[in-house]
Amino acid sequence: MHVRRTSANGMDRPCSEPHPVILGAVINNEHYPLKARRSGRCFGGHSNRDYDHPFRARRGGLDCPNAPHQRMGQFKQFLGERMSGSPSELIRGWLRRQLPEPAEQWLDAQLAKLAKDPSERNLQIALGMAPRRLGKDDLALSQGDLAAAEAARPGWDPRGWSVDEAARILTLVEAGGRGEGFAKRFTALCQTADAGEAIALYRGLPLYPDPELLEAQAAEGVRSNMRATFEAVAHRNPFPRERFDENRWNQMVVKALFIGSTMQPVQGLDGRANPALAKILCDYAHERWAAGRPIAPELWRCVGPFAQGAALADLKRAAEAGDEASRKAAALALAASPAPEAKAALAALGELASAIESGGLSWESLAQEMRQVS
Amino acid sequence: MYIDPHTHMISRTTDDYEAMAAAGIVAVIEPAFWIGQPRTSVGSYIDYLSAIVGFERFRAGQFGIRHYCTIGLNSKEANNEELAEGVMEILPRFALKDGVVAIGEIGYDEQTELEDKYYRLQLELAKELDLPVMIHTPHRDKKRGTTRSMDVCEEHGIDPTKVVIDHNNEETVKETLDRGFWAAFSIYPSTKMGNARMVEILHQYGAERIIVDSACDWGISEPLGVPKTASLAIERGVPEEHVRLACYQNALDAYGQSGQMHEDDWLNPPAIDQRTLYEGNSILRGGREPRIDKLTARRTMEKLEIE
Repeated sequence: MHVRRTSANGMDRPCSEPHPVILGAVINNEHYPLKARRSGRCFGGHSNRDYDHPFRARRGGLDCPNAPHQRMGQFKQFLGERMSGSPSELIRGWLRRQLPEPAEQWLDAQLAKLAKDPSERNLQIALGMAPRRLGKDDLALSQGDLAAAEAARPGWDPRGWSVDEAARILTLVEAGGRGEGFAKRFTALCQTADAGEAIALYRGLPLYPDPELLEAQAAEGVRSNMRATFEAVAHRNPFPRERFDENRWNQMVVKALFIGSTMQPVQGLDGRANPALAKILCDYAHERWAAGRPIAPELWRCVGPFAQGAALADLKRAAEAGDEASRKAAALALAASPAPEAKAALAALGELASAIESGGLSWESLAQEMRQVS
Repeated sequence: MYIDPHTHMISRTTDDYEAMAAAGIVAVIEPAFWIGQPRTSVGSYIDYLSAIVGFERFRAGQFGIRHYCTIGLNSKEANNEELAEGVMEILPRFALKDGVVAIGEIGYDEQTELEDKYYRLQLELAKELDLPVMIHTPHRDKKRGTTRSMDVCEEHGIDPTKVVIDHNNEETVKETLDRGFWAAFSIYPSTKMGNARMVEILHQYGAERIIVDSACDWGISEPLGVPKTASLAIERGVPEEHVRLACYQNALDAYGQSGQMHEDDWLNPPAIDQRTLYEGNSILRGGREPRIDKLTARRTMEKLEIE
């Protein structure tokens, strides 16, 4: 978290009016004063003692054109909970909150320039220079921010974004246009992207206009053998769940295992499980057994709901595996199986069965466990 | 820790990356060049530049090596005017990308008029974008070509401390150093510098503004050129500080002027990089032991089993 350096009068930009201690923030042109630790007035001239509720917007709060905002630890939480709006507005707010002055000004200047002249060249420059102007710190997001993101665009999960990524995505959303124009621009950018740009471009997929026109390029992203690029499309991203046809979806899930990535952060794993995928995964398990190579326990997650006959035998075999994680995964998969024999097989696993019953064992808890081990 | 500031990793195998990481190379710079036979369309040039800012950075990162590059129209392909015009148009787009530390490798190959034209245009571009310049000096008629390269830099008002003159040898080093440029040497068997000779140069001139690189490419070359030279130099009495300058710090200082290369990139990388692009130098972090024996065994018929 950054704390802005302020000058003696409590503001980080000179102002003609004398202002004593000012604690507050300006979000979307609304002033939110925070209860001051010592007496002070907001720049609209209202004493902080007037406030019975610290978060009520004040009249005339923006008299001073150089309205400052300062960040404080206890304020962040509040900001997250209070902010709402479109994805663009949210991202703008998060960046404004976190970026130092010169960085923020550069970004605003780029966006203003693009608003007037959204040329290819201007877009390339704005996107290309984001990391050097804004840095690469992780975007600081509270629970409230994540909730606001989900509310603004269901499935949008900005965890793990860096500030330059967020700025790049914001730039594209605001200046990339729409329809075929956007799709062409998006494709051209992906084709000449450096590693970091590619990740940002694909992570922004949930926020771009006319997503049906972007499917082909998203598929290219999944085709990449750069794990980070693959994961930018596949993980924490609603786009594949919403837009990929069954074959493309299946290829993506299998690839996650194939390139040593993980399945758990893929959105929609359970909803989009299908018999074809279950079969591919079982075949893949057989390949791995034949090769004497380990099987990722997650594999069984998409087999469970369709496990009958031969697949059931595979699950039983996995349940007899040497490692705890595989046994747990097999148990979870058996619990999801429609076959009557699955119940018996699951019961034979004793305490794992009851753990699933009680909710102590789930795919999420298993993924958590495995993350801690590795 | 070593830096190899001239490596055409696109032509090297993962064995090389493993060996380089094991030998202590933390960062490499890959200059944009030709790929062995001439390109005939700007599309393939674009895809190549994409590859060195994209996939190759990622590939290096998997071995714990940070990869940077230079962007430019090389002297050979400057002679294809149609191609050259197309490339000049797209250069600015790539030159501003993350990890691009210079315009290069530019200069003369046969010292033709077209080479001269595009060399000068790119010097101007470097000035406009405030980027350092990596200069490839010709292998034939080197002495005159090197002098001419520096003359033209001065004509265009380029600050010599922002220019690395590469592929120096005993005949060019004095003038390069006297005129205030960085002098890089490519330890490349048969055709360029050998490292016993390099050690002599370090003894004679010290290490100020001297940079060692391997220029390893698709030819018979030595990706361990820098660490081997460093070790040989120490063995032969070159002061450790001089070796550190020539095999690490000077490259960082020269190309770091771009603002795109910092020691923190490998010592203390941003969280996002660690999650996505760079698996960290496991040697630095005390991770797994370098698998040097396995590497050697693999490259011969000694180890038959492949798993």
